[in-house]
Amino acid sequence: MDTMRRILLGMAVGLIIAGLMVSVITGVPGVLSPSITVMDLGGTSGLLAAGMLTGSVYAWLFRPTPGDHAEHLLTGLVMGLITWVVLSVNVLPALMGESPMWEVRSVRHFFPALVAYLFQGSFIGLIYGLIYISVAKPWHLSEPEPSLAAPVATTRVVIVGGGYAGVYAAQTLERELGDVPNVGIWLVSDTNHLLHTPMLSEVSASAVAAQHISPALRSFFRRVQVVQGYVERVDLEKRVINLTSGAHGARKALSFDHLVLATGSVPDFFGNAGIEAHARTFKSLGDAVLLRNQVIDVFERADFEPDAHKRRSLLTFVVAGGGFAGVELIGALNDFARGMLPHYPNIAPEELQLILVHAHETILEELGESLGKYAQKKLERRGVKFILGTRVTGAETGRVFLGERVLDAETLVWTAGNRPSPLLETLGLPLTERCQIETSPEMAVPGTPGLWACGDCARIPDLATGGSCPPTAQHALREGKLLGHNVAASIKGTPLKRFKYDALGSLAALGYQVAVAEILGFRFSGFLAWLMWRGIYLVKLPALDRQLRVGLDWLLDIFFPPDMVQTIGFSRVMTSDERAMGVEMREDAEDVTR
Amino acid sequence: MNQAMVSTARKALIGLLAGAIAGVVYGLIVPPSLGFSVSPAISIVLGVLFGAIFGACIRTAGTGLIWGQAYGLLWWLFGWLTFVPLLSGQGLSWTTARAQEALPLLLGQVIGYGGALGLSYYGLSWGLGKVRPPKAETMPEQSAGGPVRQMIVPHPARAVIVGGLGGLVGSWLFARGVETAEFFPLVAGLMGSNAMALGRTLHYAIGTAIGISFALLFSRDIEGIGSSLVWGLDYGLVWWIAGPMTLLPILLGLETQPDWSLRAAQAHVPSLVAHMLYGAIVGLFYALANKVWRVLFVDSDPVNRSLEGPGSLGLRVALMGLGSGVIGGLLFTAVMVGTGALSQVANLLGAQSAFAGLVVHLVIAIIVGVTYGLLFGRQASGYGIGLAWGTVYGLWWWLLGAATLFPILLRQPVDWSLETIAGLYPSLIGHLLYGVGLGLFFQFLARRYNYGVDDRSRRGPMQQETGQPAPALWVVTLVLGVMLPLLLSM
Repeated sequence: MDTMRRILLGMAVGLIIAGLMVSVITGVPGVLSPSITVMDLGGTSGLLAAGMLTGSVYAWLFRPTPGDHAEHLLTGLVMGLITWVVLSVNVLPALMGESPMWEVRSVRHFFPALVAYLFQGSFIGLIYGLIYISVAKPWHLSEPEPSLAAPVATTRVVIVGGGYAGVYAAQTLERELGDVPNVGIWLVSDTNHLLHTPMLSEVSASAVAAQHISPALRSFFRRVQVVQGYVERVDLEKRVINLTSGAHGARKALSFDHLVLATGSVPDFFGNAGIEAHARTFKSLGDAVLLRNQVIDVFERADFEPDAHKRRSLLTFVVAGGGFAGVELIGALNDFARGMLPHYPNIAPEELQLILVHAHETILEELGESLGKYAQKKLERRGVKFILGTRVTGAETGRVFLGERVLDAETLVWTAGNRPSPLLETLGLPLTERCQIETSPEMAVPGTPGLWACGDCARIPDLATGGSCPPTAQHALREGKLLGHNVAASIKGTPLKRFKYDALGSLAALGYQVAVAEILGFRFSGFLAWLMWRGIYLVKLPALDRQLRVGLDWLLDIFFPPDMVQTIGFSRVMTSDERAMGVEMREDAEDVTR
Repeated sequence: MNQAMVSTARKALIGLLAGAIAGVVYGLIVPPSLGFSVSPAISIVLGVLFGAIFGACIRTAGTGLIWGQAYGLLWWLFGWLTFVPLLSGQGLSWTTARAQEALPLLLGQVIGYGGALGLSYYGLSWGLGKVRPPKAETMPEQSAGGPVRQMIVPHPARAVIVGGLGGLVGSWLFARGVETAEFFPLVAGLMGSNAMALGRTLHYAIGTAIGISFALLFSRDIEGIGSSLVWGLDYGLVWWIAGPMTLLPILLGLETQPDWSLRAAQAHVPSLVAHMLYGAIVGLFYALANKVWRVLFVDSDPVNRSLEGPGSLGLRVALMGLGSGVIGGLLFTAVMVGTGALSQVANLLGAQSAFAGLVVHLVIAIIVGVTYGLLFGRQASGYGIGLAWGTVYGLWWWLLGAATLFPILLRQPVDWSLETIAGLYPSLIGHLLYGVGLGLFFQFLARRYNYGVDDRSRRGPMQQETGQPAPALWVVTLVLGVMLPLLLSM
């Protein structure tokens, strides 16, 4: 609106100056020398059009400040010159049905118009500047001067969750509330980074460095305040959330007017305590780093171990779950482990086993049976074993139970189930059967004004299918953006938008230069799909510097052996005494780089 | 009287004195035989106006020079071409013939009067303690989240060394452009000789000295690599008028007074192009070297690290430049198609088809767009500023690309003669349109990064450009860049 008023004012100034010029030239005898005519100046209509164009474009592009008359005059003159290049030399001849003539002899005919436009432009700049400075405030042409003092937040937005949904919601809010200084935005996350989940398996396979796929949350924002901590309690009545810093015990409270829940999901062990105690999870950057170190650790121990049975147990890796996470992980681990074998001469290749256990008969069911079969075949050729139609029913140290069957395996990774964050169950709100919060298509939680939810923790109606939106990263990202817009709109009092998104497709990497993909209904497999996987996820990786670092990691990975440096040691916790005491490996992991 | 009126009156008074000095300088430089004398009274009145309107903008010698030049140009356009004929009853005569007739005065107004006025205004203001330029090696003031000035004022010793090296590099390229059998012996004539080696040595010495003077004059004004290039472009223009058009013939004893006639200017068109390219190279080298210094030894200090490192920013502006280059290139395509130049461009690949030409043209447009992002990315902080820098950058690429690199890449001799340059005028129009599209679209892409309540860059461009010399730079380079080929061609 401000811009439109400014443009109209600029247009009026341009028209008046051009009108005055035309009046003087045509109305006062002797103003023009006999050597030129009004047509040489572009004609009456040409001059008026030029004045309006210069004035409106000038007003659109520049906002004058008091005392800078010299700048207004000269920038107006520059606008006059650009108007001449665009209008007089190109557009007007074209409008009159003539082809523009750019040769110097032809353009020389426009020289009088050039001087006229420069003259006109400089006066437009000067006069518009003077008028604008006088009327900008009463006519509401200018934005309020930003105060250098930190504004007091009268409206407080708290976003819980530092995943795609939360971060993109915060980013959108920051952008859309740029002109609303009295809104405070807080992002609460239990990590200080945004995890690019599609590349998590690359970290556990040592193909890329952990921090390269995870930009720091604070690097995203200028205005949003990032709080690293855990939510202890949400009081929807008092509109306060209580936070703790975790083990250190520090606590703080954040009040809110709008609360965005983007808490994501956690691994679901379906109440199986044995699996929960002995399986590694694969959800966070820490999980991937620990898994990578675990792989190296068991190789070192197997290399040292004389007992063949124990060696086999150490060198057996079981991944539970044949969805995207499980399949990508087994493919990456397989490459990593087999790539390390030449460096461990005491380990025979046949001793190494990587097994994927999946409850259904086809892996990667989301991509369809043919691509699932293709993926299975490719991975089998590279040495991965599949146990399909079977569930992992239990685990203990060194053993994984598949019903009656027992696998001797030191490493079990659990990717077979996720559920929304348990925080939701403490809110006292009705949840779906999958423990998600039900939202409207605008992602507002019905019945609780100011409460919003998106991402894996929310059940958002899918307007296209009538079902609900799937808990994928590409949905979370877009949900976050729209939710940020809707919260901003709610604060500004403008209409909200409904979430509607058709997924573009899915991709899964299967290890060395092989992948499967379904994009816009088209299926791809092999090297092309792998190139697409790398290209798409590299572009999707937030932050240019991270993209460059991952690109370099991939490049160096081509030319150099796998990085087998163990940065976290586990050997101390693997003693039988400590095992008997119930000490968990993860808790006692020791950073050997210290 | 309120404080503002006192301040304006003071500036007008300094302008009065500066006007008197400039009038004397102008009288000494401009040949009376040309019949364009300026009476001392008029000179003083113009000085008073200059002080009142432009005085606040002059904070350094460099800003004095450029605002003075812009003021001189304004008076040529609106004084000599407009009000003088009106008041003398001849009527407005904005024809090329009239402008060609007044060409000597254009050169005189821009350099002789305007330049002298601006410099003397600065000298007087400094002498009276009214301005104090920023100290060397100090980090300019920043506000939270506000745009960071790209360059800090370099230490004078470093500025001199870098400027001298820039001058050396620029004069090497200059020599490659204008190298003819008679060039170096002609320069050697300054020492009363015609030896090639002496001429070559003198040429490089002069080039180095001009580079050093560039650093001394503008080191406190240059804020970015892109603007430094344009400062250099303007400084090259100054030295074209001061050198081959004025001092060289007098020192060689060929003339007793400067010959600024149309004919002389036409004869020196190759030298004009060479000087502008030389100046731009000096500016580019100077700013790049200082930027590298700053990145290696200032910004890399963890205490000084910006929120976003130069690598991230560089990549982002390069990508934005890439996209903007496509838009600019598409605008330029209209001229390419209209003049049938696509097949000429295709020659770069040894092809003939218009399609191949279009592909090559767009690739070049993208490369130039990327360089625009890298050079001007931080300076284009608003649509207006982006538009102006983009258009100036288009002009520079006309000189560098169409007039210089294109024949080199086609393995043809570089020809900066008047006929060739005039023949490239359609390409100039295309380059200007390219710059318009480039600058505007770049800003369109950049706007998403200008947000946040404390971010001053989202405010109107002039609000952070107050007192900056950019508008004067734009006016001098663009108006002269567009007008001179029109006026000098027959």
